[in-house]
Amino acid sequence: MASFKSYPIFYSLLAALGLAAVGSGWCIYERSQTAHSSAKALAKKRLELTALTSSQPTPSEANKALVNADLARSISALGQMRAELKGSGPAAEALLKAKAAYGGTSSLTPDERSKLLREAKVPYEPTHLFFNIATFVESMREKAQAEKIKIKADERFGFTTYASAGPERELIPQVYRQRQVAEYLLGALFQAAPSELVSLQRERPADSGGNPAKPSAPTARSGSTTVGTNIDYFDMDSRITARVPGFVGASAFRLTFIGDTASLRTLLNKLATFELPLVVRGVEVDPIIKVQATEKVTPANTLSSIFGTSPAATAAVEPVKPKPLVDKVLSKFTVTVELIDLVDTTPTEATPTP
Amino acid sequence: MTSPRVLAVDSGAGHVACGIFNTAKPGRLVLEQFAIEAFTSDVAHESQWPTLVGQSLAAAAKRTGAAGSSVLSVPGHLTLTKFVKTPAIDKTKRSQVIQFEAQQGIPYPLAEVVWDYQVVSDDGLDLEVMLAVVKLDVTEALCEAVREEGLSAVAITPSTLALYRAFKYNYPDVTGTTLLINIGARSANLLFIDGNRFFVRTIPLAGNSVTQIIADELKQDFAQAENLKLQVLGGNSDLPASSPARAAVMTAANSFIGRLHLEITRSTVNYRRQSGAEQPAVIYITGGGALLPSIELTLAEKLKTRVEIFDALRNVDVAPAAVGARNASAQLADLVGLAIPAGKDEKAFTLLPPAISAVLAFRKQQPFFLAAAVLLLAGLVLPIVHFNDRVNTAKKQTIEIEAKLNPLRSLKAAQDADLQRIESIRKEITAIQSLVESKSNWINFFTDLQQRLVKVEDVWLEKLQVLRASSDQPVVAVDTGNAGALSAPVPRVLRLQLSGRLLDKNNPLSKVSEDSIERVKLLIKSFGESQFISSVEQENFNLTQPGILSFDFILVVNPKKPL
Repeated sequence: MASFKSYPIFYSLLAALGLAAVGSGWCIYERSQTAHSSAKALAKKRLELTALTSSQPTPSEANKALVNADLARSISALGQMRAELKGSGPAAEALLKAKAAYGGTSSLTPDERSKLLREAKVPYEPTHLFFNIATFVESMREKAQAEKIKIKADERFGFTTYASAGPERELIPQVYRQRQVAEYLLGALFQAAPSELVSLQRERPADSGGNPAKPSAPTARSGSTTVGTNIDYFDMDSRITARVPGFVGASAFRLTFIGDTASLRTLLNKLATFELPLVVRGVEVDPIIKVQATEKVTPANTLSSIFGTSPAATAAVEPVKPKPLVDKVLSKFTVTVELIDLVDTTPTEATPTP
Repeated sequence: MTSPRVLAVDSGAGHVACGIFNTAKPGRLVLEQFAIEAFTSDVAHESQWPTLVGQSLAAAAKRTGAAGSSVLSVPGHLTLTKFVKTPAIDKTKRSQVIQFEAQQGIPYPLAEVVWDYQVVSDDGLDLEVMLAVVKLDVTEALCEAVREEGLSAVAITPSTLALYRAFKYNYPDVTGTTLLINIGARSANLLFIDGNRFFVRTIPLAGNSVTQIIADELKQDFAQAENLKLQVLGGNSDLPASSPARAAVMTAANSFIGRLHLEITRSTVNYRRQSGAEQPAVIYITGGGALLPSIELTLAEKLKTRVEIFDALRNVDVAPAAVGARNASAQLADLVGLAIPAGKDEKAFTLLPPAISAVLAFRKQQPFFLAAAVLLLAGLVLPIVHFNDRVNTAKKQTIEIEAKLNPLRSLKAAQDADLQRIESIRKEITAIQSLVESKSNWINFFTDLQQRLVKVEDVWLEKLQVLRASSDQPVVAVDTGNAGALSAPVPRVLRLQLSGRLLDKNNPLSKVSEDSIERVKLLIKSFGESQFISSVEQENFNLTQPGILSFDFILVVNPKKPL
């Protein structure tokens, strides 16, 4: 302190220089740290640049255009595929209309919902659907009788569950949809003129939470022999289903009928028109024994001769009616189909990035 | 670098002269400011000398505006001057030898004195030096007195050395042996000068001697006698010529001159005997004693030598502000000598106390310390500049790279987004592609079967059973054969169990015939060629019914054409 008093200017200057030196030291540290971090940042940027320039495809306008083109092609291809699986015709339109009507009511009040569904002419109360199904059953019975197709006396075409009451409110959209598809399938089958409808079964509808409806009767398994089983539901074999989670939803139906090959062919050809997006997932054939061999003569070597009796076995036996070498055989056909319901994947609908 | 401005303070035994000198041109001093203050030189006030110097200096400094560093002198009566002869030695070892001589020659402990030396002559064989010694407490008291008046002493020079320098400066033309006598209040310095050699003898015969004689004669105190002396000898006295007091003063003055004559003679003899020098050709007188009436004439007559009054301002320009200095030139010899710096080859001489010398030395070192600190700071600036340069370079490069990165990033982001969407679309396509491809496969498969049955003729199927593979069978990827087409996961291999019969029309009674064998082989082969069938397995035949060949086999469905 005494020294400072003796030489205040000198020691002040020295202190100032000392402070400056300390400041410089700090500045060196700070600058070195900054230089270090700057070098790291630069190296990071260089790495990023190297990574970008060496990435495949290299980011460039040309590659962007190629990717855009690829995206456009993919979108186009997907669009074509989706169009192929949409179905075309009044039945498909009715399905879509009903789906749209049910789908657009989730955010509405009950009154608004009722009004909208009423205008769309789709059932929105269990009672509505009960009578809709009852009408459907009666209509199908009449058609079967008109086509002389044998059906069970109490046949309800897969809707025995709702013989006395409609479905739960949450199941109305699914059940109504199944009813629509069943009507189409039975119409196609009746056009194919089978001799007997054994059954029409459907998958158990799921509620809004995706949980299957409460079973009211045993469920038949797909692929198993269900002749004589008067039940509505069957479980779709997961090995043959067309369902792909996130992309493809499906609702399965199983038609079991007795007839000849022509009936099967007619039915399959009808389904192949894709008026509804129904995809055949399985066909099984079992012979039905003890059928009169003289009933119907089928031209040789036609599709109807795939299953059943060779025409040679029944030809030229008319006068004496000898016992044929081979009995006339009808077949029981079990056709499993799925209604394809493509999940709407919004991003894929987008256009390529500019 | 020496400042041309010098503040000289001649602190004599009875006066303080203060002068500010400057150097107008090389070698020419200019007295800018001047003031002189007298104080009592009574021996009784010996202990108060530093205080009296300080008080007088305060008054003088106030008049001259002096401040800052000053060069001081100490009067001869406070300085012990000794001349020492030693063998000539190397300059690097000279200090040690002279230190030894000082220890031997100075009659005081060296710790109690301040001393320095001046080389008087060095002929290569002998080295003659002048030692000047002052008591430490005297110099410290003097420096303190000066410091209290706001000045600082940077050097203390003995009056004898200042006198020598004043003579060398003002009378460079004088050659031969010369005697310069500075008659002060308490002592007189006899300075013998022979070329560059000199010798000093300080004698206690000075103005106070005259005063003391007057005081004794007139029974007055010292101050009254001094006052009377100054009035009478200065021509300012109103005393009549016959006044005893005036007579006493004149008597004392004559007595003083007589005694001085004797001292000069004795000193000259001693000096000549010791140095072998010649008789001084001229004697210069200065100091207050030089104002004694007719002193130069009296001495010249007695000594048979030319005696002159020393002009201290002979080669000094006097500024108008210091014009009063002319009237006091007799007392300015030491003052002028103080303003003259040591010669180029001369060692700096000072009698400053060691503490103050150390302070001065430290002051001189301060610029170097500061310069070193500045250099250190400058040294620290270099890495800062270096790192800063690196930072700037890195930032510049980063900006350049960033400029390249930005468009690449946006392109990459756009491409990645598109690629992700393509991937998503491909997944969806993959998910539904098999559906698209297989939606009509069953009817096509039956059509294919029909065509193959027609070719063989008279063959039909009775049963078709789908044999599902186990669920743990791995899913296999299949090359669709379509370049660029998306590979879809293929359903597990499907097997169809077929049962049918073949009618052998040509051999209705035969259970097996060549014809039926060939036809069933043809049928199996035909199935194998179907695009829907990859192979036919487990062929079983029933030959129990004549004319009918029952068969049963398994068709393995081609995974590329799933049903």
